[in-house]
Amino acid sequence: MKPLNEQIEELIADKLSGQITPEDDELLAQLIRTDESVRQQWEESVELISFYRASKKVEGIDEQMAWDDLMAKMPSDEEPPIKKIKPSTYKWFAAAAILIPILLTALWFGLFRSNLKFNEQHAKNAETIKVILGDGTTYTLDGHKDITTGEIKFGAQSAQRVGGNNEGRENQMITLSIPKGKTYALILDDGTTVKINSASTLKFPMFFEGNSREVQLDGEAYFEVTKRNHQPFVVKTREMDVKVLGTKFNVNTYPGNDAQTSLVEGSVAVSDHTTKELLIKPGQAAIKGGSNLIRVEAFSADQILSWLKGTYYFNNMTLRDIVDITNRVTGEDVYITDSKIANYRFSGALKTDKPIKVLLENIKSSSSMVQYQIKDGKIELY
Amino acid sequence: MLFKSHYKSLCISALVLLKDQEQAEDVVQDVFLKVWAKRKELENIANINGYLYTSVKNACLDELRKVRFTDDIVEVEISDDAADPFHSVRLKELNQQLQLASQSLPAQCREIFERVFLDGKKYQEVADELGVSINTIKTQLKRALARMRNVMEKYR
Repeated sequence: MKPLNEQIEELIADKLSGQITPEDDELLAQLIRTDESVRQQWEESVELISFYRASKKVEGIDEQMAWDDLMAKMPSDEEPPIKKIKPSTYKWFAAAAILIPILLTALWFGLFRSNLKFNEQHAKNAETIKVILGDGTTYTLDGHKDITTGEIKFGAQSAQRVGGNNEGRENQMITLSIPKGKTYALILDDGTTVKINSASTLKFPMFFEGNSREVQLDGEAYFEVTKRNHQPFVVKTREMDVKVLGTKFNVNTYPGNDAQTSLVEGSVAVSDHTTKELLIKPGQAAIKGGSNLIRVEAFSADQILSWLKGTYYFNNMTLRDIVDITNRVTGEDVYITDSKIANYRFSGALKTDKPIKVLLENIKSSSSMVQYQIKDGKIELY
Repeated sequence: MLFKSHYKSLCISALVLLKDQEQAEDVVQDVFLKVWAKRKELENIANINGYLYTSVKNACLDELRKVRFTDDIVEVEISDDAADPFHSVRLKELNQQLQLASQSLPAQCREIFERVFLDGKKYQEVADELGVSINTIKTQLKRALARMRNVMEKYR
């Protein structure tokens, strides 16, 4: 009979090298639980092996390369390195129980190009883009005239800086309010580009002073931020603050959704005013719903960023939600008059450059229970 | 240069917790970035190593809390003291001593140790590869473990 210590050594070695038998495993577990000295021996061995393994792995690291890596990540005037975007874990046509046949996006092209003259007389949302200055002056961008205020010239669909000298200018906060059915592109004082989605508001200063660059967002926008290490860029929203270190990311805070920040490139730290900051990496999104803590998930770039190209994907979404999103991004007024169908689920896509009739036809053809009609300028689904 | 002299040691402590080399390196690099950003505030800290080390450990624990973690060979309980009695300053020394200790093992002993614990090979496999009996394997393993454990002792 071997001395007890040796036997335990063997068990531990067996376990650490992954070849312990189930019975011995049980035995070892029990010994660890009941005997202090065995537990100690176990823990020391675990430490040793973990440490040794780590040490060996690290041997291959080239400090110079790591340093170069780090320098590349360091905020500077250079372009950031392209980080790998983690593969999408979001399965498209997930095998959930779907009541209604799935609408294939392939149906989109060609099939329903309408020959029917689409009567555009139905009421399309006529709201306009508004620019509100710090002193309350409000301008409306209706496409006829560009508005220039200070350094920024606001055109119908985008704004840019003219002139580049901020000296002697008084700074002020500008609120840009984008209604349903429209999007807007903007370049901020530091070169950061922002694309603002429908039904969203961005409040930003004419130029950035002080030790951070702050903007306020309500709704959804996509940012490509100029790196400035000494002046971090912060997007403040009602649910979370996003602190940026030179990156590309999308912030979505529409009411009725969980607030979500999705990172494409670079790095951001997200906080929700209560917890400390959470760093997320490209391919990840920070999501906050209600009073829950922020959680981090992988996101599908198609799903989240497709709006930049005018496409919205619906994956097994209720008709009600589809209608809400459609109304918001097209400015149309679609109503569901039969509440039964509001809960039917569909999958498909909406392209904002196509007339809404295409979407309506698609929905109608994928379910015999849904019809639509245009009455007095309103679109009804029933 | 702070980075170069401590990068590897910090990676080791990150790796012990995280198990994934790329992730460990990312975490350590992120810590350096943050420290760099705060360098003015940190000017007065006496023990920058300790600070670096604690930051890395905390960053690893944050990572672990985000994602549930199982290791198919060993499951380690994550507590705030997990796998970490070592003070940062001596981490580098410890690493060197361990390397020395393993170098000083008789060649075959070291071979066996590394094949079993680093390559994850079964006893029989290694026995066949080296042309020895399983008993030899077991004896040599115990010897290696004992020697390495002695080294670790001094750094507790």
